Amino acid sequence: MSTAHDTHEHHGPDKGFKRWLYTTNHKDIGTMYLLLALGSLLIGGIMAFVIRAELFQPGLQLVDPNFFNQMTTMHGLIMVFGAIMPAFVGLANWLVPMMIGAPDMALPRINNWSFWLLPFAFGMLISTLFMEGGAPNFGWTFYAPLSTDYAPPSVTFFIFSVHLMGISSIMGAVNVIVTIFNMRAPGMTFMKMPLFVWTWLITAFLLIAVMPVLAGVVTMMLMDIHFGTSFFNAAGGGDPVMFQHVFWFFGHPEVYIMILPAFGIVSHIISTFSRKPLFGYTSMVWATASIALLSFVVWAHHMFTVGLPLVGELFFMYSTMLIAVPTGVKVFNWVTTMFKGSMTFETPMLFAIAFVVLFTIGGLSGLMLAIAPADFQYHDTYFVVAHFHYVLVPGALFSILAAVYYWLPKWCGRMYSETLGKWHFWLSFIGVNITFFPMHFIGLAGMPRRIPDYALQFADFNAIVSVGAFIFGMSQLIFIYNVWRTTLGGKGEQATDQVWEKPEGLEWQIPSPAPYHTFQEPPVVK
Amino acid sequence: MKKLSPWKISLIPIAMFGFGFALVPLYDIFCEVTGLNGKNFSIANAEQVSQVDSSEGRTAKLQFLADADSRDLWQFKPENKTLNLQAGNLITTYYELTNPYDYPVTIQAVPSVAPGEWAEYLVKIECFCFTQQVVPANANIKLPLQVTLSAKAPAEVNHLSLSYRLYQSETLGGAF
Repeated sequence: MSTAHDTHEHHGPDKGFKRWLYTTNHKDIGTMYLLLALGSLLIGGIMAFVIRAELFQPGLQLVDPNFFNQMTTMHGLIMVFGAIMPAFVGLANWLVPMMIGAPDMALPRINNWSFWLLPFAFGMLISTLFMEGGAPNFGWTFYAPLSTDYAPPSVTFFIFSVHLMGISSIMGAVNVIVTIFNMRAPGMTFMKMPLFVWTWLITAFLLIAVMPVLAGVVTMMLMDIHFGTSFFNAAGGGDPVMFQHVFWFFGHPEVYIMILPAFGIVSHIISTFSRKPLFGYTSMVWATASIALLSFVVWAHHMFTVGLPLVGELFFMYSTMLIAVPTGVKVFNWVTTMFKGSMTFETPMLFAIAFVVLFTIGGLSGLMLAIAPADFQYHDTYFVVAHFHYVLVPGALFSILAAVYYWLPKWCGRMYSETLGKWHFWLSFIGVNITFFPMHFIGLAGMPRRIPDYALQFADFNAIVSVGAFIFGMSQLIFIYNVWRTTLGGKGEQATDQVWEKPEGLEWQIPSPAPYHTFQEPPVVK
Repeated sequence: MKKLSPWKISLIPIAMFGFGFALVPLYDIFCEVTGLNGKNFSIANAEQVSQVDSSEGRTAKLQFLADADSRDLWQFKPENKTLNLQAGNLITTYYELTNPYDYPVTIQAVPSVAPGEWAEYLVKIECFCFTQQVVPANANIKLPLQVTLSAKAPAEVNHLSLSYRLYQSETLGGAF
């Protein structure tokens, strides 16, 4: 504890590990979130390597099928809950206070706790790999009764780990909402907020609405497994299909939780490097809000094949297709922002443009999947795998990489290596397409997902996919090296306070690197 | 400026946690109202059925299906594959079940009627699915069933399927 005396002038962070354990500073916590996400990305990436190595050739070569299932399950869980979500929370921590002119998050101690729950949650989840019976092997969607009656004993640890990360997300989201509502600089009305702040505000509302439902569904599983209830057990009057309804009531808003902040990020980046204000700010805000609202009424499009009545199939088909409208508005706005702009193609802009193109491909395959009769063919095939990887990897992940390149000079005061950044981008771009594009073809040809072996006609494309995955995975090492040399390595030229050419936003008005405390006097927004 | 209280905003996640559990009864009500899932067959007693005039000649074919378990260890099959249902006439039939284990087992049969929208026109008077059944070791038993067609059934109701899935329920949730 610091006394009144030493907090007076030379106030700064504690030294050593305690700084990180006790910190309530939004920048420190943001950094920790981003590092945790990077660690998860590497662990989940190694699991993806195991999956792709096994699938490089038909037949069973490297791992037994049960371990393969553990890999697909853990890869999904770690990438969704450990990489993408914490990375966005980390960016929110760093950027939201700086963008709205606030000195910190509204609930700094809650913020510290939200973060420090996560290492325990993921430690517990990863420890299941070393338990008797192995890690969860029922897929990241953990459908009952596969995850209850037929689950390995480690499922209980999985449940508690989901509880912990759920509590962390909910507290983080409450923090973001309260910060944005209460701590905006004078003059910053809602419709003057930067889009990253807007998209995160809406994401935070999605989080507090659906993470508790996820907590509920895993609690029901826990009770079915240990306390003799029958929520999902037909013998006791329960229903396994109900699991899917409750799960996807959480699950579909969850996919927008993983993409809405990305929309905010690319809006900033495209505007800066097109040297034009964003086209259609108001429509962006409304499009984000409508996507969020629609996400609550489309969940059963994940379950077209469970035996929904025709009316249900049609309702969920049309409501899902409706989401293409606000999403199309966004893509239109990004393209129009670039139109006749004096564009330059620095690394963040390259990732942002790739986001627009490749996310749109993912959106289009999503529209194909939304067509209920066609979905009976695509359901549980590699086409679905191709679809959600296109929206999550060159979608969410590319936006996170773009954000790190874009704001890193502000965070650490030095420019990253543009050469290495370009290498990283082009290898990632090529790798990601070699990995995920052929999956569309093998999916349409009927290769099911989550299998360790496959029919011989899929062999060539699977070999290509595995090579692409290797290129994509290894090229992320360039990113890690680039970030390391810019931050801890101390290389790279000094960044100016503006960093880029006339970027919009309060965060560019403070010095680079951003001081430990910023906006202790709120700026006035005109 | 009026401040938003974090306590107030915390009510949303608390309410949504409750909503997650409220989805369970809501799901059942939704299925009952819409007839989805084929669970809401009618139940009546023999006297009520005997008051129905069977001369109208309204009939429907009833198909019997049986699912024991995914490993097919149990011998579980209906006496008849199909029977004709007639409003006012009781049908008594049975399912046959052999316990493959040399210890007694408690089972629960879970019924489902298809098409689900017509499930209410199947009237059960007696069914082994109403209660759990104890099957002695290695025994072959007959599980009784008494059904009829509802007098309210419209003319287009010309076929129904009745299926049973067996669950071992020593401890509920115990898989085969």
